[in-house]
Amino acid sequence: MFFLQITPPPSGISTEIFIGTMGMVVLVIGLIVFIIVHQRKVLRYQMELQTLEQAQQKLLLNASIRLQEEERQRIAADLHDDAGPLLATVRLYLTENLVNQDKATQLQAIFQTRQILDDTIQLIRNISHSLMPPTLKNFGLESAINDLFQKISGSGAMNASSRFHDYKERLTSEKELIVFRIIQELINNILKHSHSSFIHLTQNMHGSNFIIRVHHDGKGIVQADFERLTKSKSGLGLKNITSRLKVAQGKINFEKDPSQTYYKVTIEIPNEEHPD
Amino acid sequence: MYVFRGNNLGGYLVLSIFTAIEYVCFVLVIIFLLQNKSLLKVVKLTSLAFIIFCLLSLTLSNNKFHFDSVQSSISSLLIIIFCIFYFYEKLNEPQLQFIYSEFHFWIILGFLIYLSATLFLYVYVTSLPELIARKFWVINSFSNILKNVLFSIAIIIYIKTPITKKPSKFTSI
Repeated sequence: MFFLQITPPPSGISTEIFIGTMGMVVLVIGLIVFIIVHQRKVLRYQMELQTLEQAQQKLLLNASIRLQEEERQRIAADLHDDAGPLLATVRLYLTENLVNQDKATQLQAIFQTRQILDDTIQLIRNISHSLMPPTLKNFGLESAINDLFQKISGSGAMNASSRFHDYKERLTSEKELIVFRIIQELINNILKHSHSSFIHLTQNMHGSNFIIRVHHDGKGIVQADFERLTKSKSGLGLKNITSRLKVAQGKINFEKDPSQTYYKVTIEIPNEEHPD
Repeated sequence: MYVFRGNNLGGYLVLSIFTAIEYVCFVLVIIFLLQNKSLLKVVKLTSLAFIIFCLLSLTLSNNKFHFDSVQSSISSLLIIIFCIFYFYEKLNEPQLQFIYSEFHFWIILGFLIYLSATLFLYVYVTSLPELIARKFWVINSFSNILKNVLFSIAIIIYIKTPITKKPSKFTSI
């Protein structure tokens, strides 16, 4: 109201002062409103991103817990269904030995017991190998993957081959285990769903990045499918791959070959640790 | 209203010193709030140049007017630019809370409102007849009141904000 009392302006200068002052005040108010609106937008966007990230983390955590539980159940089933009866049979033979004093029968029972114990040892070794492959521990990723591919090829179900081109500088044992588990999961998925006739794995280095490519000629997925499945409630194995890659700070890309004949999965793991 | 008390060089001296002190106070607040090193450098160098200009004007001036229009206008313009620096920096740093929940936002807003409202008045006041200038001086009084209200809001926010201690170097290990 003060400004209105000043009218009528005595000269051009008064009008300039009046208009200039009003203009400046409007500009400042406009600037402040813009800053506040912009900041609110940015904050809202950040909060949405955070919520999405939390949901994704929760999915990954649930997937990893479910996987752990499944693994435990599998080990428990193996021990209960296979090792349990074998050891119970051993116990029966030993009890029989205590009751039956006939030397020949005793000898026969001891021989049978030894046979069963050998089977049990082999069974426990198999369980232990499935938990941590000894080839990986003793000879590294290259041997473990070659071993895995030879086993698949040996089964006659499909043609599987692997080739490491440049693996002089080995990854850390933790990263090797992560890569091995990812490959295992991918191979498992290919065997289960793709109906392909071959799998071919190649390894290369790109700068300090460790690169693995897996090709197959069956039914596959592309990156968009992978992202959709990772965000959905199904796709436990793929979520497991994502969480393992997150630990190794790696990347994965699913794509169809330019010739549209093969599906290709590329895994990229940095050989050096990057601080978060 | 000291501005309109007679045409004497003493008045001009007092007002020039007041402008310089006011500028220094405002700039110190802005320097305290700015983080960007290059912006800080610009603020410091410009301020140094402005203070030298004020001193030179004081010693060399034979101003027949009793108001230091040039110094006040330049001072207002510089502070407005520095306030924009502050907002630029705020918009570029990671947003954790609303800008208006920080006390310094209200201080800067006070500077901006006060100086932008009075800028044109300071530029033209010496060209106006005294009677008209007196009428227009209400803009200065009104924006000054508004500035003080905004400063009060800043003080209230500062008092109400819980003090968060920075974690010591030892506990963060």
